[in-house]
Amino acid sequence: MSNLRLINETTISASASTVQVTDLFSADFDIYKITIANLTTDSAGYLYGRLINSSGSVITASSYDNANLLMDSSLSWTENKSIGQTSIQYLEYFGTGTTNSSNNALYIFNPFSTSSYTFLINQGWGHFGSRGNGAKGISVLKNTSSITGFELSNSYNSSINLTGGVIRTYGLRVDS
Amino acid sequence: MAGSLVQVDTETVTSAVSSVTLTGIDSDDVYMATWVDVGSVNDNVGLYVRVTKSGSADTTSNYDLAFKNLRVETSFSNTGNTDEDKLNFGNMGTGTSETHQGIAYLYNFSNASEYSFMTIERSNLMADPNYLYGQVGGAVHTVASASDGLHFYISSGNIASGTFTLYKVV
Repeated sequence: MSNLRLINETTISASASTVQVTDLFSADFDIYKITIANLTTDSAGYLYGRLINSSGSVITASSYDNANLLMDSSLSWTENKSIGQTSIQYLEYFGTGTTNSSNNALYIFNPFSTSSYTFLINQGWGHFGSRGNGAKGISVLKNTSSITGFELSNSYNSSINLTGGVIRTYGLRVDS
Repeated sequence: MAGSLVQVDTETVTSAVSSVTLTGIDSDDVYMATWVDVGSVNDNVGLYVRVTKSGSADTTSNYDLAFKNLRVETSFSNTGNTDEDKLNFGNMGTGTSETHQGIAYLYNFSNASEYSFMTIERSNLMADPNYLYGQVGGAVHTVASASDGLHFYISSGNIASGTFTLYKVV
C-alpha cells in the first residue's frame, strides 16, 4: 500500500463564497498534501484560506503570517508578505471563464498537534486571460489549536463565489 | 500505481541526537525526503544537510545551490552559492515551533555517473524574533558518484525533535 493515503476528495458542485473541507487531519499523519485542481470563480481575484479547528470553528484571529511570491508570465513578479493576518493570503490569482482557474499543491505540517504551530508550503499556477502566474509561498498559523480542516475563498469577498474544482487531501504515512 | 510513495527509511527524534541519517536509495527512481517539527537543543542554530555516500555524509566542498528566500518581515532575496560543504537551511530557536519542516525531491542519487540533484521547499520559524522564513529552489552535489541518502545535523549542539522520512516515488 502506498504511504500516500487519499483522505478526502471534494468536488465543488455549487457556487459559494467559501468552501470548507473538514474532518481531515488526525494523529495518523504529521504531513498532508492538498491538491486543488481547476478551481474556478465568478470574479477574478486572489485565492485565500483559513484553517478550521477541532471544534469546527474557522480560525479568524490575526495569527497568520504569510510570504507568497506570484510570478507573472508577462509582468513583474509580486512579493506578498505579511504578519498577523486573519487568513492565508495570495495563494494564487485567477480569473473567470472556462480556461481560467487556480491549480495548487500545498503541504501542511503538524495541523493536528496541540504543541506546535501549523505550517503550510504552497505552489501553484493561476490563469487569467492571456496571462498566468506561478506561485511559491509559505504560511504559518501561530496558534496551537488542533486543526482538522480548512476553507478556501476568493479574497474573502462575500459577493464573489468559488464555482468549481476538485480538492484532494492526502496523508503522508510514516510507519515506525 | 503511479504517484505512490513507498517508505524507505524514517527516524523520529525523541531524545537529543547529534544527527539523523536517512539511507536506502538504491534505484534510479525519484525519491522524496520529508522533515517536520525539527527542533534544536540550542537556541539560534542552523539546520544543515549533506548527501551520504555509502551511509556517510559527504563533507567535500561540492554543493551548489540556488534559492528564492521567502520572508514575512522584509523583501524576498536570492541565494546562489557554489562549492559549499553543506546546504544551510537557516537558523531556528528553542521557542514554540521555532522548528524546520520541508520536502525535497531527490534525482539521480543512485547513478554513479551523474551528479545528485535536489529540489527543495522548506520553511522554519527563526529564533527571536520568530519570523517565518522559507526557501524554494534546488541544489546539486557535483560529484559523479552514487549517493544513498541525506544527513541532517545542526551547526552547534543536538537535534531535539523531529521526524525525518525518506520515500521512493513509484
